[in-house]
Amino acid sequence: MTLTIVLVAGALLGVFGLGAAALRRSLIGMLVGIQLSVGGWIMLAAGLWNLSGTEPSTGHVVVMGAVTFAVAAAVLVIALHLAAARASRRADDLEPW
Amino acid sequence: MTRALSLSVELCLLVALLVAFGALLAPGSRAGRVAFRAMVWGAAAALLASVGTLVLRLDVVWLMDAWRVDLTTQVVKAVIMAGLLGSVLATRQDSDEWHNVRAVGPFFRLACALALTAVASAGDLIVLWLALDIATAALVLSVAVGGRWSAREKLVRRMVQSWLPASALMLLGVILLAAVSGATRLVDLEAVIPEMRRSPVVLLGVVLVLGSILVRAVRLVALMLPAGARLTAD
Repeated sequence: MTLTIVLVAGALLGVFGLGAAALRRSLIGMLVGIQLSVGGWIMLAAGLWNLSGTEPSTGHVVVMGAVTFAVAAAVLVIALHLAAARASRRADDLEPW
Repeated sequence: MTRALSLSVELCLLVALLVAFGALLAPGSRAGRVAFRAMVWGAAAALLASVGTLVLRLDVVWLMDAWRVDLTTQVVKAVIMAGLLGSVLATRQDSDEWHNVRAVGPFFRLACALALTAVASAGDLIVLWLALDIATAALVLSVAVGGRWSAREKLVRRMVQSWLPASALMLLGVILLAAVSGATRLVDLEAVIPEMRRSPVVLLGVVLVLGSILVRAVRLVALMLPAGARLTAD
């Protein structure tokens, strides 16, 4: 029962996140969608490995890789967003911040 | 000795990357030129190393099959190094730009090339996925820092929009394949997947992994090729 709930919740979160990312209204909005979907896939991985009775070490490695990807993507997208904001303010002869 | 030679391509790129990183941190106007030279010499040495290891016909595995070196991987690496050198020649700079060249561009190009060699040698799904992400992120950053933001903003946004969803879908494919087949190593998957080819979950996993690699590669090349000519004029 717990495994089913975790798998369904993870799949729903992942699909919702991908849908939000597909709207592509802004870089930050897309980033939030991707982070939600990666969180959903992490729940899937946790459920498939930790709750199904198989060896969990592979699932742990997958989860660590997913977290690393999510953090790196967040840092990069926020840095790009800040660069765009600074360039926009510079174009209007304003201070960068 | 033969095992050590199998990593010669990566070692050449790593040394060049470390030199470029030092130039990135160093003050002064020459730092950019040092990084650029490190990129060119590193790529040339890596190309020679990949051709040399091709001649030796190495067949080595590292880290329990997570890293493979054989004829195919070295051919792919030679193509990657030729592409890196070609991109340097295509963006040849005049004397004014040469004096103002920055270290960040060569650093991220070297990081992208090193990650692509990891993609070529990947023997594990997780290594493949992470290496592809590092290569794509480094490519996006090398485009983003290569000149005026106003000229590159649209291209960088489209590259990020191509990268992130493809990577998330590939992660889902990796999870499905690994969970159903019980293996992440490509050697084990090659043995298990043919027996499970009627499973819809396995088919979905294979489609997601291969499809995301293909879509990402095609889309990024399609974005960069026509834009490259305009960007080199900035």
